Amino acid sequence: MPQAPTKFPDMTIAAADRPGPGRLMRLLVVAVALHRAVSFGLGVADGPESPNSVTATYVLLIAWSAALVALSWRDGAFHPAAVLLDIALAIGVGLTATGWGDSGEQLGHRALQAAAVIAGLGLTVRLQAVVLPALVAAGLAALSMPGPDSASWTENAIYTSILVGLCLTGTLKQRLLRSVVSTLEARGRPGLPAEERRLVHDTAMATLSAIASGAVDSANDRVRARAARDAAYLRQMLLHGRLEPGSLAVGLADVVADAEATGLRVRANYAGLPSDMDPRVTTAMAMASREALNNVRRHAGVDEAWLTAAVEEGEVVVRIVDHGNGLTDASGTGITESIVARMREVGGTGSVESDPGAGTVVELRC
Amino acid sequence: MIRLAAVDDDRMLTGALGTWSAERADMRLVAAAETVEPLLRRGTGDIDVVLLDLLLADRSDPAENVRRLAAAGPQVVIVSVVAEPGEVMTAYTAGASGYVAKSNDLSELAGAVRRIAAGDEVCRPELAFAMAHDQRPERPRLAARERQLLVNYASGMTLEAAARRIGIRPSTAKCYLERVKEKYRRVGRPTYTKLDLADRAREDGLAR
Repeated sequence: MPQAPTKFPDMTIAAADRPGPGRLMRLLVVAVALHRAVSFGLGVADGPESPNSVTATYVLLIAWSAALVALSWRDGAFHPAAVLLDIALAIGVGLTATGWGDSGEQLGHRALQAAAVIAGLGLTVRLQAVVLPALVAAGLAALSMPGPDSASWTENAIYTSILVGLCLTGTLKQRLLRSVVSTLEARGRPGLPAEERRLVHDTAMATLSAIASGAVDSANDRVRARAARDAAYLRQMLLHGRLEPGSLAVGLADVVADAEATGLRVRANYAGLPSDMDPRVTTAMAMASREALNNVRRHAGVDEAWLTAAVEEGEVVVRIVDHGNGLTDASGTGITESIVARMREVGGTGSVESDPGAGTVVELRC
Repeated sequence: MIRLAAVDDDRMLTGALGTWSAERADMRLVAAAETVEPLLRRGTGDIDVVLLDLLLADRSDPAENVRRLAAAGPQVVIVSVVAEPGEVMTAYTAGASGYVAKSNDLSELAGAVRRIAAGDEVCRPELAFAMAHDQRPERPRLAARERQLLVNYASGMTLEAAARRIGIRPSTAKCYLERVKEKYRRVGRPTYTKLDLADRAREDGLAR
């Protein structure tokens, strides 16, 4: 299992669990691998003319790069922690190797340039703003080390612009890739957003497929209750063009389905429910409705209930009605408390009206 | 004996209705069609009630379907699986006698049809719900009490309970429902003018 980046989770460029972006990101990983192979490989090839320390550092850099590339390939993303480590390594090499003569200086610059590229590809702009000055400072420090030829300010400027340019190119590639990926993803899923597709897939699709395969009996009560819930979901989609997993309509559909699974017939009607309700209110209303339907099943002595939800004078109103026995004191206090308290907690109101023998009306407003 | 026809592209429903009504003495399915056109071509002289699905596969206008069928003679009862109140009321005001949700069992559907055909059905709760939550600008204006009664009745209370809740007699409640339906029937006739609509829009604005 690829370990998810934990240290900088919000800075990860592409998640490994999405094959599309991962595959595209791997193209950039290959480009990084090629660049480093050529750049550091040339250094090793120059081996006979360079001090041993320089050649050894090139070999070390190649080994580290191979590990970095392997890790990034596996995850389909540049791991920010690995990128930061690479940059630290490059700065260390840049500052140390400049004391090893011309070939050492070249080694330092190659390491810093490779690090600038990967900083652009693998870090967020905010992190780049911290890291890039450090890279440039290390490069300039390496240039200005006392030696046979001391760098002029033009050389410093050119050097700075090379590092910044490499980093910027990486950033642009990263941006471009992300926009391509999001375009591809959008094209890959016409119609419903991912969450809603998942909901339809897990509910209506699953139920219909099970019935179609003959695996379940559609006359079975539980299957019918599930089908009823799924129908409620689809009805919401048809009415509102959307099906939001946390919405009141979906919450109530679940509640109704669960009640029907226990043998209660629930006649549900919804109209014009807003989709931007506070999730706390949505949950409270759904829970209170569940409580009210449970009560019908336990105490009302009937097998039928009505549930309606609509907007009345700017308030969302849910009513659960039955024509049963009505509440007695013994059965009434607990439910009344839990419904009233639950609604009060979210700034709404709940009421339970009941006359013995004349049914019960539970009203939730918010 | 009520002679039924069904205009519905759901063959499962028309099939079940045929089988079911064959075993009943007081109801028979005499014709079924997927759209209005073939039924009208067949002739509707021997049909008392047409069950009309609100949304047909040919995407024909529901109100126009109601108008054409009702003009041909039979009573039209709208049935639907999914319906937005405005949609139901637009079709209803085109001349339907009733509206029954498809979520009802077959026997409930038949019972409702029987009462509607006999003129005994004042107003089904699902029709009350559609009237109570109709938001179209051309909806008739309801008195506050009428709306309260509708909302309560639509939420599943018996007419008696709904009446008691707002402090009126059940007989008065029945009158209210008839009056609301009459208001809708009047809207259905194209007598309202642009001026009426402007008034209504202004009232809505003030009411808010």
